[in-house]
Amino acid sequence: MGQRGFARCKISFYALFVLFLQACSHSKPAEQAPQPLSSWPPLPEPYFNRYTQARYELGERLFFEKRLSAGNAVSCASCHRPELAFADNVPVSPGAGNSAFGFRNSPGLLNIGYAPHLMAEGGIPSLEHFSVAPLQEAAEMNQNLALSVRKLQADTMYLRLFRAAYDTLPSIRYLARALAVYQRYLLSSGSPYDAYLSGDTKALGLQEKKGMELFFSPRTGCSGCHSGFLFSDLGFHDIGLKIRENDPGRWRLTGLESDRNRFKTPSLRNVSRTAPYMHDGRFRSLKEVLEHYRQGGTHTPNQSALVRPLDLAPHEVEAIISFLHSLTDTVPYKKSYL
Amino acid sequence: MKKIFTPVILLTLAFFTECKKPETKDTASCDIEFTLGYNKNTLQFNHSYPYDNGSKNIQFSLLKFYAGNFYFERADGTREHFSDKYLILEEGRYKGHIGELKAGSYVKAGIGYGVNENRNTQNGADAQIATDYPQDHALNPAADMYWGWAQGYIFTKLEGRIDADNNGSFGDPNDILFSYHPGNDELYRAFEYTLNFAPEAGKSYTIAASLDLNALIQNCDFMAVQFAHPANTSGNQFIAAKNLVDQWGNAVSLAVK
Repeated sequence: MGQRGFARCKISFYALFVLFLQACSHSKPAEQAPQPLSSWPPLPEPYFNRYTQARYELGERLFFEKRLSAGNAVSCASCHRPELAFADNVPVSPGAGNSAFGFRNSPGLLNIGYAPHLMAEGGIPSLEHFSVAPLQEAAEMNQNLALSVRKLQADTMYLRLFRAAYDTLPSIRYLARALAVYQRYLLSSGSPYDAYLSGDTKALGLQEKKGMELFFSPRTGCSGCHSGFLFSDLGFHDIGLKIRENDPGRWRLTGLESDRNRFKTPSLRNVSRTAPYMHDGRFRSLKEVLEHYRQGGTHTPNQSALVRPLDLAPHEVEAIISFLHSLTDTVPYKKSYL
Repeated sequence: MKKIFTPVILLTLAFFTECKKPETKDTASCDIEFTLGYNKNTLQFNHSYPYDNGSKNIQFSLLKFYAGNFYFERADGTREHFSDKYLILEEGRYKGHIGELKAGSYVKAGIGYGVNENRNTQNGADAQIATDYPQDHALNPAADMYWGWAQGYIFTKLEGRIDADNNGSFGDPNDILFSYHPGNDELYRAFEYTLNFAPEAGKSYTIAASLDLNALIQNCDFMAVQFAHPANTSGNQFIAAKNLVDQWGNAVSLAVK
């Protein structure tokens, strides 16, 4: 090989090397945040805690991390189970060590990034504020955040993940932020109903279509509160549930009598996976929920005018339930690091 | 050449060091230490004291509170403020550093109990996310005084139990546990106390704050309201918590150690 040939060879080698590097960079996880369905509005995100893949992965690890609880007993995912649309299947979940119970049903977390206020009474303004409540609450994870951080700092994996996500050591600030990033991007990935809206008329069967018609009709008024792309107006309503003294709802926060027994409207997306229902898990099935509405509530002082006796035949109730099942995501959730 | 440079540099450094004006400190270091009592006895946790004119016994298991936004007032009414300074005071740690106070003569001091509205909730002018405070800051949730679901702080935690039938046992059916956790803007209290204090520059002082728990709970009816964690301003819990925090003024007196 002459000198020219050797030079050509060298150039080809460099070119190949550059192509190889490019290929490698394409195989890396995308930095682009998971996107909500294209018909949905953009997901609000604070400027100081933007999505990165590293932050998401850290938040995900933390969400499944039992060392964030007393006795390393439970993680966020113990009560917000991915396979149950990040809800739980018991009325009230046990806290760390099964020793303490709160008084509310574990709500689903999918699409929580759209919520302008968190918790059933709406006392928390953002996901960045959110994690402290369950992490330190005696009836939930029951562990001081300083101890949680000490546990994380002793683990080289977390030293690496925090460095990659926030260029820092594990700390309370970034523990809360990473959990916020992860939860913000727990998005519904599409249901038969969404496919139907996108033009796939076969995505819903006759029964589901009938249920949909009833759901959106003035006759039932369901969509008066369960409205919009989340099937929630994100407002607070008294739906006429028999009052249990231990939970006055939004009154707890505001002290206004008009807020007594009002709770945030939950999203109905994936509702087939989130039984039992209501803020205290009092109804075991969608049938029981529909029966409550069919009877028109229990006439509590602040009961919404939208909740009134409904003249629904059993087959109509079944149709509405079928429609509610069609709001279930078709793609199962997977941990990104598995 | 090296031999010349080194002494020249050293001499220059020595010259500038000598020329540096000696710092004149015009402040005194100021701490505060709370001493807890019940009537005229030193308070011990989980020790019985007479309650309700001696018809019952009371034991305290926890007193933890915020003191902050201190100020010292001169005879002419001018003040030295330590605004935005918060101390967490709890068993084993009823002492904290207020700051560097200008030397002079003061006749009054003010203390805020709780976290004032600028920082308490996210609506406050200086509010920030609680987890963003440094971990050892009094307002970080690690201090166990942040009320997660209601986005504000618990100003005071007072907990204990009452032997209602006065038989020396605290586990009978009529006996009660009480837990008062006042904490919303309406329950923040600031009180002014007489304090003749003439700190001298460069010295350290400790303000001795005597806290009489009997005076603090004077208007509390623990038998009627055992649990007062009001996040709002309605209902019995708020009134009960108000009855507690209104007494900070009468329950504390200040002196200089």
